[in-house]
Amino acid sequence: MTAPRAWLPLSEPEFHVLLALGSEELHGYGIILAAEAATGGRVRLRTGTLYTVLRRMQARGWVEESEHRPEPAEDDARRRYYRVTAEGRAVARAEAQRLASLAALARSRGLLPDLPTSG
Amino acid sequence: MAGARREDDGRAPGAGRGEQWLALLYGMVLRAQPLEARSAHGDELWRTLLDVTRAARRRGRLAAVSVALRECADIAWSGLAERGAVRIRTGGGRVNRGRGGRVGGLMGGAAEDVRYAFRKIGREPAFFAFAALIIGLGVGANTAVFSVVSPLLLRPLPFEQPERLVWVAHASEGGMSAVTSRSSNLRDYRALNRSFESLTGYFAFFEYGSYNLVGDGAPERLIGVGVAGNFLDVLGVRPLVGRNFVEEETVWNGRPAAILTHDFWVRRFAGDAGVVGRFLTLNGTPTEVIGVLPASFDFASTFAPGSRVDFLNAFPISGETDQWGNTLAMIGRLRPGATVAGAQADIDAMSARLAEEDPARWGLGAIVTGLQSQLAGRFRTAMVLLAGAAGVLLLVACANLSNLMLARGRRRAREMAVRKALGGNRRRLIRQLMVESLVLALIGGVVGVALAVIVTRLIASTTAVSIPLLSTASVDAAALVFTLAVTTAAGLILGIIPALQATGGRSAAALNDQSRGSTEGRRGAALREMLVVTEVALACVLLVGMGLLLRSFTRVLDVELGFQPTGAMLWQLDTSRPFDTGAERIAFFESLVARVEALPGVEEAGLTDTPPLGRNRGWGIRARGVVYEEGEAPSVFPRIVDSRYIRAMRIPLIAGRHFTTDDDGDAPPVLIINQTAARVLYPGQDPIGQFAIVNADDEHEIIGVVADVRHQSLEQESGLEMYLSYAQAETAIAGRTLSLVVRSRLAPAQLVSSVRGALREVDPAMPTADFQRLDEIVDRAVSPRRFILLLIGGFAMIALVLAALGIYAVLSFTVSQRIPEMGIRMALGESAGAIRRRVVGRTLALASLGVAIGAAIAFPVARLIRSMLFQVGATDPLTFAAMAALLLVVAFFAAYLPARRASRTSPLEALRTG
Repeated sequence: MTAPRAWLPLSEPEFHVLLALGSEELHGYGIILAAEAATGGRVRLRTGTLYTVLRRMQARGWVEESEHRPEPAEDDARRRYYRVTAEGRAVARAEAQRLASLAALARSRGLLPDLPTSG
Repeated sequence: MAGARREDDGRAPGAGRGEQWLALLYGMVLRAQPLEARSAHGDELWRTLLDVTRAARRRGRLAAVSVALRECADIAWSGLAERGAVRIRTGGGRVNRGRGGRVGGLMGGAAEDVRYAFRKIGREPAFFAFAALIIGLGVGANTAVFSVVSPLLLRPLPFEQPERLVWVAHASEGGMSAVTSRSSNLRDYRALNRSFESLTGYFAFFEYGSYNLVGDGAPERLIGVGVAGNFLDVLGVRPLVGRNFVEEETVWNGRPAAILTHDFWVRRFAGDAGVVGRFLTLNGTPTEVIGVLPASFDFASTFAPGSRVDFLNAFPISGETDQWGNTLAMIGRLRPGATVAGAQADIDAMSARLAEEDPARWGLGAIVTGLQSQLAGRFRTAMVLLAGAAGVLLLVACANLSNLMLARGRRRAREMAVRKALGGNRRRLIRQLMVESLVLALIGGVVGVALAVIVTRLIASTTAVSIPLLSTASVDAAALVFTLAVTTAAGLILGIIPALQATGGRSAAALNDQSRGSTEGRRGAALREMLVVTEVALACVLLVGMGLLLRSFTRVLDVELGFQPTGAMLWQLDTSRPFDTGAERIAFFESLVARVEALPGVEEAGLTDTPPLGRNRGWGIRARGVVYEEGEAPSVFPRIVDSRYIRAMRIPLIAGRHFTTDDDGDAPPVLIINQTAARVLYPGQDPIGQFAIVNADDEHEIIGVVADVRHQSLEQESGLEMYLSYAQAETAIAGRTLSLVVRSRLAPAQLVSSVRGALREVDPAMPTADFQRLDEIVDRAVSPRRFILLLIGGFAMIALVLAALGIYAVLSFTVSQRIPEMGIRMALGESAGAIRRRVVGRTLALASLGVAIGAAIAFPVARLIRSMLFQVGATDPLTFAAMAALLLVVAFFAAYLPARRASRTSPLEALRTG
């Protein structure tokens, strides 16, 4: 298994999918909604790209299909649910750390305002 | 929300159409995705797409549309990206390079399919040629029928704004006098009406007279039609060369002028435009040629099919022509916005008012109908029948080909299964097979058009069939569009079953499965048997139709005509020789007939003014002393004849005597009537010696009763008929054409030359070329019926052959598949004969089922064509039984050959092939 760092940097869609699936198991549309909500509407995942990404991540073992099914009343056989694997979580964490260190660098150079220190 | 599974997607109202479009678009962009993507996530992608667009819809329709478009674009783009057609960076230096695939697209796929189809055709040219021929027959039949039906029922008449033209007919029973009107009617309706932009008419009895053309060239007998001055204007026809009539030419004793018909102009003057302005001597009168009609307006074909018209001249609407009685066929052009119903009310009102003003006036009143329906109405049923039969034939051809392709499909099942295992999408495979069928159908369509052009040209050139507008039948742009539609439909119909069948294979495991006993094999066989049953059923429908029409036709030919048509010929005599007195005219004709009768080989000869099976007028007749109700006076068909006509026609004399030369102008007026007239006028009495009043004229004494003659048409019973001696009615025949009947046992060619010689001796200026055989006249009367019969019969025979081929092909195939089974049976002791019986028996069972279904369909259909049948019931058991028997016999023979082959195989051989 390749070290998570080898896969970095992740593309934006990849990162947001992993992020969304980090907290719960979602189907395709759920992922789109989660990404939208998390970024305040800035990131709009498109369906084609989304599934390309999901396929790729499935192939790499970061994401797998889950057997989760909602209430029968709301179920639709066509919707498949996904969840993140341990490897996926590791890759996401690695990317988040990379981004964090980048942000720290930008702050030290004055590109970003200092973080408010909370009491 | 109830329900275990929400399959209905909880659509918002009104979203259905939009989602259909979305589905269409999705289907298209999905093709950009690589195969694994489609099979892995196709459905899911669609579901997600729906979710996204529905959410967007809550923000408004515009938002939904733009979101839908952007999503679909993204699907296409990311799909192409995965295929590697476009390289995009996906991050981290790991560029995702998919397999190098062609950028699929809808158009690319179809073009590929077409190329594939042509390759397949190239590999099996014999099969495809055969198949193209079969489709060609089906399509060609439909195109030909369309070309014939189109001028009559579909194409507008060759006039300006023909939908505003109406036929204004006098209204009562009894021949042409019944539908024609007086000149005064035309004059007064013109003046008083409110619904018509213009009214016109033509002289409907134009065939009673003719015009001798003398001058450069041989004397020729021409037929001219008198028309009102505005006739061409009302129809909206402009002369090709020259002009229409002017005022001076349209009054009584006006300046003689003629407008030539296009055919006559080409025939006699070779299309020379310089003929306009020249003078022709017609019946001794110099007549100026003032114009030529365009080729698009064929008067005879439109208004008097089966006759020939050479020119139009002016018919004055005057008091003089009014005296002639009901003579005009009236045509009107409605004002913009006026309707037929309105015009009818208008005519009724005018007639009532005119009747009030002059109670003694007779002949008022008319019925208004659309011109096109008037001309075509009589044949509507026949045309619809032809169209239906052609359609049925095409279905038979499609079923036949479907069957053949199903047989080939078995060989392709392997190919299809392999392609599916490699990820071929079933829809795409079906599409490819359908494209193949369509290509085949289009090739067949081209063959069909070629056939149709030939057939249509044959039909249009014949003058032997008196169906209106037949001469304008042609394969035009509309027919080609129709052909394209029919061909496409045929391709789809014939291709769908084999395509579904060939791609329906379950799995690769099926590849190894032997056909015998497998569900695939059995389902395929059942499908083919069902197609055979369909073919037989459809062929049965056509055969029953043919059978009924055939029986009607033979019944019509068997009808007791009342005269003897064989062995007689008819000459149209016309002399422009002037006579001072009527007696001179009679003497001239008497000597003429005597000269002809004296010829060696001539048995009898006689004269009449109205040849049989032509158009006739109606006169009023009353028995003396009988009081008739208003309008109840019977109508009679008169014939003005010499003393020999009745004998020459071999019309039996039932009572009394014939005319003699003593019944001349000085003798008391006499009359011969037919049996029907005797029954109607003098019921229960002996008519001989009684008196009848004709047309409010003098009284005539009845001196003889003859048998009924079918003078109007073979199907119609004769009405009241009477014969007048021409010596006593010579004013009625003045200037008229007389018909000479010559009965002889000589060969026609011999008779013609000797009679023509005799005629020329009597009057060198008399045209002698206008003759025909009496049985040809009878023939022409049944020509429309025969025409329809030939076409339907042809379709039925083709369908029968196709059905037989279908049975043979299915059986050959089934038998070859079952050889191992038969080998076992024979090894176990079953005789060859028993095997044959089994095979043939099953086929006959299928054929019987087909016949039963076909008969069930034919029952109600036959009722629809009741009006075309003659003395045959629509459910005539003899016809149904005969056609059923014919089909079963054909099925038997079609099955026998393969059955024989099956029973001939040796058991060892059979088991080995298994």
